[in-house]
Amino acid sequence: MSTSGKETVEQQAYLTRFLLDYTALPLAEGVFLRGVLPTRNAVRIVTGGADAVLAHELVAYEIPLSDEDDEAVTAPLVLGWTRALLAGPLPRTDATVMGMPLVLVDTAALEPASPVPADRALRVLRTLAWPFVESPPSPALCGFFFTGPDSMRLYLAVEKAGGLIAADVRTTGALTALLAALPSLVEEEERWATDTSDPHCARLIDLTNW
Amino acid sequence: MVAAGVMSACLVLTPVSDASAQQYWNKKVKCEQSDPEGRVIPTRYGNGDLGWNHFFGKHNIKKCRVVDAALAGKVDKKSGGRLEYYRVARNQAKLVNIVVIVQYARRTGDGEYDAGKGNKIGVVTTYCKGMSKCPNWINE
Repeated sequence: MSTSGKETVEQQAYLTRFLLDYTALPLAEGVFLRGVLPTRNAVRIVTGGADAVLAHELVAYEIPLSDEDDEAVTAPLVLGWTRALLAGPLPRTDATVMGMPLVLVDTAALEPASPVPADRALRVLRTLAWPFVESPPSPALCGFFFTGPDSMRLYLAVEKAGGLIAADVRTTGALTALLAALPSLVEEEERWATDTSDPHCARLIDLTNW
Repeated sequence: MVAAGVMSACLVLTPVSDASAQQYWNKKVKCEQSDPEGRVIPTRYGNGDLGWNHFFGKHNIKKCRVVDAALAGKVDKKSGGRLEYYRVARNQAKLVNIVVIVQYARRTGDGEYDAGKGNKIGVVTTYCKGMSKCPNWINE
């Protein structure tokens, strides 16, 4: 993986990890984080209702990984921008990704929303329980997407795949074993398939029946 | 005498934006020191939340050498990217224990600040053990 590729993986893993809490904590009234979709120079923050999985129930906001000064964006800013966008009407967009409306965010023109009390509390608790570590686990989780009430897609950085592997998993069944085996399973090239409908991965691996 | 020091120190505090602290921290390096294991540790100006602009007023530490002298000794505690360095400062019979907290990683532990690719956050804070403000004599 190139240096810039590693850099992108590290940043996406950091952003994903930071934002995980917002799958359960609302970003706005009745709106939750339903996915983080990693692209080459951006993350797409997918928002929707608590159980939303259908494309028409979701909106993806594309936030570049660097600002206009080429400084890497931080997770609190991504959160603040997402909250600011959700506070206003849905911006008009003709772009779509995986059937969802895709809003390209101009972060230079957007003031991030202030943190809410729960954000501040999480900052304290997360730092003590789960401080930032420079090297993400391997394979790094660079994004995720809820695909059903008990299924999700995980975007994992697998060096030999030359890009991200999207792994479809269920959240039921023998999860301990699946999660323990996952780092090895995603390396098995014979399981790799190509999914042209998802631009966020180089390969797809279906582990829903594993 | 202490009160005068407090008042002048307050003037240098940089306000921290609650919305986007990252936008308002100054990454410029004020001091730099290598530790015995070869880590090059910057003290950045930062803002009221971390770095030189944090401890200058809040903890009354106004000289690079106070920080750098502690960094020149061994690491006393290490947990991931978070390092602690201790040093005893002495003025005749008076002693204070100086503690320097370093984040030897690209980002702070709370994920709020990013020093940029290949860089380290460096000194997050420095203080005197058991007191919120160090005595003035440590800066003499």
